[in-house]
Amino acid sequence: MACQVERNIRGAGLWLLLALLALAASSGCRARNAVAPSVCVLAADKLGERIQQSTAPVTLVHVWATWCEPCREEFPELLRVRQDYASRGLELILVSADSPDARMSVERFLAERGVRSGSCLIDNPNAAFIDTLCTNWSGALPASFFFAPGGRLQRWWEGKAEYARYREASEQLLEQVQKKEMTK
Amino acid sequence: MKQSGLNLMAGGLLLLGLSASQGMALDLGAKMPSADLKMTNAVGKSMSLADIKGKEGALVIFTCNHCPFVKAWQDRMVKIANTYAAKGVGVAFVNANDPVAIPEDDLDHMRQLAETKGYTFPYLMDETSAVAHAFGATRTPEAFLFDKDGKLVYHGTIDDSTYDAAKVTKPYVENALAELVAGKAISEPETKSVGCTIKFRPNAEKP
Repeated sequence: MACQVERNIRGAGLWLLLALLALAASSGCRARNAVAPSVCVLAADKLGERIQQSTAPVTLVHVWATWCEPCREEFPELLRVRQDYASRGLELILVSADSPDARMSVERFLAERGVRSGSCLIDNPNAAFIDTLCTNWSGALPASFFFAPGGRLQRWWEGKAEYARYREASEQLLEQVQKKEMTK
Repeated sequence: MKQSGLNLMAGGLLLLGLSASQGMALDLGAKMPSADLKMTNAVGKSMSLADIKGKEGALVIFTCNHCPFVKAWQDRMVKIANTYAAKGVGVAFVNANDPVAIPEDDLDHMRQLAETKGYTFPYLMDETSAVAHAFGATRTPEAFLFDKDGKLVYHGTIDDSTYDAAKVTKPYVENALAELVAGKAISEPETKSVGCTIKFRPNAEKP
């Protein structure tokens, strides 16, 4: 009887080993295709510091949530904006208003869309968070905020926007920065 | 309140902010609008906000079923509402979302939620979203508290900790209700937080 149990355990051990090997192989495969995006939980004051310390000519902070339909709809446009303007100095900081408990959903959402740079997740989307970005923001999602170096808010809007609106804002703000540098 | 450099800069862009805001909410001191407009409660009975006014005043919260922020606040909201409904404040939760867009916000789901969560007050469907438009409500949850004369004394969010009830340091609505019932001035009459946008019906009547 004891032998039987032992053999079963050994058998189970073998299967476990095989399963682990298979898992390792498959996750290795996934890792080559898409690295899991990092999602960090952030407090409002830390977000404020991050914006103020950004050295990018233009920092676009975009607040969204996985369950927010207009956010989901405009997400591809937003990624296109980053793709087109990152080389000219646009930094995109994604800030999710999902619950900190929903971190896995946020990671899955980003992975499905090939966003390897991840997103912040705000720990508490309260008045302090709203005021960190813009005191006049009603708190509606999605919302986009363009900052100049040092954290000067240049432009913002709430609600869904199309690529053209992001393009227009990005072009204009990047041009302003370029002009300033030329006159230095 | 701490005012960072960032906030000052943001304040400088007031004009831009106003042009981007979604609607004009009711001012403090304003009379309750559309008080006589009939809505349907979760069990199918027709009633208006005039019907719910209590001797101390009235609390109207625009809310819904599906919104994750509402879900996070739900138990706190119901507890506060039930407590003050028993103290003479008329309470109504109003759902102005279009159930065609969000099936979870239909009358059947409203009834289920009201039952499960033990609402002792009406949960009303704003069938044309006209009441929400008249209030200038844009988000869920969004609370409006009126005094016994029907004047707005508080407008804003529930408290300062959306996801974690244990970390609430400012229970805004609860404080406002306590002050109202005690006959005191409301110390923080306007507050805010991130909320879900109300999913208005297409072509809903605007005031």
